[in-house]
Amino acid sequence: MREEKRGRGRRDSDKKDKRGDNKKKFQMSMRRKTCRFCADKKLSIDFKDAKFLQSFLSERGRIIPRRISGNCAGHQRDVTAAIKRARILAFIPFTTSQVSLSI
Amino acid sequence: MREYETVYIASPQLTEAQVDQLNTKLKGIIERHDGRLFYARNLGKKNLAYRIKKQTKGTYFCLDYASAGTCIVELERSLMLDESVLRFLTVVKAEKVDVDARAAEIEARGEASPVVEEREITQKEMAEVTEAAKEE
Repeated sequence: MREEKRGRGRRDSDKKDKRGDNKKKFQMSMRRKTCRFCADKKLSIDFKDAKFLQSFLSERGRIIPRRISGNCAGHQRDVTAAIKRARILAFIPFTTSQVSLSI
Repeated sequence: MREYETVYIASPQLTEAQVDQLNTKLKGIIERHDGRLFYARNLGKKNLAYRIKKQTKGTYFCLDYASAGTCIVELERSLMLDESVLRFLTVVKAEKVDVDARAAEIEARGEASPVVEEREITQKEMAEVTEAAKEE
């Protein structure tokens, strides 16, 4: 089926052919990440587990976006809620500047 | 009846007797409102991520219980008035709870024991975590 597509592309103008190739390369380099909570149903999101929540924070303590962490919308929402609760209870910092203050 | 979870941070300067007194007081409030305490846990003395009331450390406690909403009002009021409590947070775990079934479930998982000590997170472990996050 792939060969069939390529053949059709060659018949079109050169410009269009090039564009098609680029698109294909782009898609191949971008591997779609799967949501780790959907993949492993046993994995629970707990606001008391600071170590686990750290994996969804940047160095500065900001929440890593969905497009990078690969979470699905629903689970990203749960993670965000858990992080915000953990911040209130001082499990994780609001910003890293607070860490240097306290130590 | 809803299932709630309350986490509170006690001041590190409290003696063990004072901490016990605080815990029994809170348990008494739950019992008085016909609530059912599933477990009370000592999460251990931890470093706070930022200073609260000029303290850098705190002892974390976690209560899991089923009760009516009126219980929360009194529990939170007593936590708020207690100056040795640095911070607290109450979260609804389940809207409807079958008390006996939930208690049996927790018993089966071996989580019912009243106090579970967890060791403090060391600086080295924290560094490992941040490094792992960086790699991701």
